[in-house]
Amino acid sequence: MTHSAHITLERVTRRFGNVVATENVSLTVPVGGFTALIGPSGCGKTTLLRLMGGLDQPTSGSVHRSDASLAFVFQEPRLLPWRTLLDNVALPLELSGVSRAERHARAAAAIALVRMSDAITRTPDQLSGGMRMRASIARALVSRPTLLLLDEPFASLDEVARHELDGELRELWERERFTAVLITHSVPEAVFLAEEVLVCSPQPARIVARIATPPGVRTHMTWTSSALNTAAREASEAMLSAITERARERAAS
Amino acid sequence: MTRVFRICSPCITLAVVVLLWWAGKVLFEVQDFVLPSPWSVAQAFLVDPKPFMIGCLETGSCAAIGFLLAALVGILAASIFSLSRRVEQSVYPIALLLQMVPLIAIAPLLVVWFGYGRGAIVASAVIVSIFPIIANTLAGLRAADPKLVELFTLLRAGRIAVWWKLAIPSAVPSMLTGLRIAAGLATIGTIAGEFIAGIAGNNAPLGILVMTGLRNFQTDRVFVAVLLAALVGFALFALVSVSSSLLLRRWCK
Repeated sequence: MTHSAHITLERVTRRFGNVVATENVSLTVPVGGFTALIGPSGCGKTTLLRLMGGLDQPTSGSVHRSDASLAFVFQEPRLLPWRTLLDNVALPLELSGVSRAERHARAAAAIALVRMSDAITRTPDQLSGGMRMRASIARALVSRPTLLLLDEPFASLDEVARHELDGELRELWERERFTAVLITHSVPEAVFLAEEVLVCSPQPARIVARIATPPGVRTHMTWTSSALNTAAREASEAMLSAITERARERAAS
Repeated sequence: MTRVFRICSPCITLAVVVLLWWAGKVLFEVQDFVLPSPWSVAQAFLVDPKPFMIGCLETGSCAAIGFLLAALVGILAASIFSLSRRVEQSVYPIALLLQMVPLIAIAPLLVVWFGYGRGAIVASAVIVSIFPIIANTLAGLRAADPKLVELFTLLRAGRIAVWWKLAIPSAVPSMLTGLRIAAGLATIGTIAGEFIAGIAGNNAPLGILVMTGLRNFQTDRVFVAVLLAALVGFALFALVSVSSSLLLRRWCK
């Protein structure tokens, strides 16, 4: 695996008025790597992801991305309710002017990747929550992005659907090897999916720990393996100590 | 059971109203030119139904043409407003002002511009029914889900693509609401236009039949014309409602 950087953040600070969302964050995301950002809710993780994707500009510092072929997966599926699954997944290709026949063929292939080929003519209201999320992943993958940014994609799903989709996402990544950045506040999910877990402090977000997770193939059966548990404990402790430290700082000032 | 009740209960209410009308007339000995009996109203129609049928056709066609013109121009105007703030800011207040001018005050002008007959009558229907179409369509075009707008921005969709593939489909439900309101108003505008610009004779519309009935103290004929005018309005409204609910089935299931 190559270790050149896909995204580099250098001393990135983003302020919204008086609120400092992220402060002096430096990090690199390797090409073909899977990086997870975890932290307490409201800490500025999403701001970091939006900066990485170019949806937002830093107040100071710099963001470098080696290429522009990226796709977002949001917390909600964001499907167009009046379109079928096929036409929803084909939307990115349609907007970039790909011919009808080609975009339908490519959309069907992306739908097959997330195992929804039998639901191709259904509209979003005829899909379950998990299926809608899978559809939005298919839509993100349809343009064959080299970088996939995931903003708490499975947060609104039930536990079972979440485990299943985590397993499928990891499998997809192992097969396709796009660069992936995942935002989540679930430590077990971050450790299960990513190769490297970056722990953010409470707002303003800073990276307080980097944890490498054990290598190897994962299926949803290995969710509770002891090696993953160790990494998860390490990440949880890092997050907790960051929270207590921030609380102590607040109390002192 | 509930279905039968839904169909039967308005019929029963109608029968009770007719019965009360009859009883009131007999009991208080009201004169025929003030309040004809239901029977004499029915007779006025049945003795010579031809002018009334022609009147229905005349009024109905003017209302339908006015409605269609208002729909066409209204949707077009709202689309232009939604694409350009500047055009909206300079034209929309004038459209609002037009809405505030009482129709009865402009109707004589319509005669000056379009002459007596269908031209002025259709124009009056358009003026009355166009505003709810513009307002509702514009509101719908502006109400596209901001999260979907962000998705389109991320996919680098142009302004026209956002408008055609997102704003227009999102606006369909409220556009149809505007059309339903306008369908009822178009008939009102038509009758009001006929009072001022209608031509008496073999092809007299319902508005003229009301006026001539009044002049000749044939209140029973006035009643027939009024009831038929309501029927024409209801028919147009029902037609638009049914076709819009058929269309809506694709949008909100």
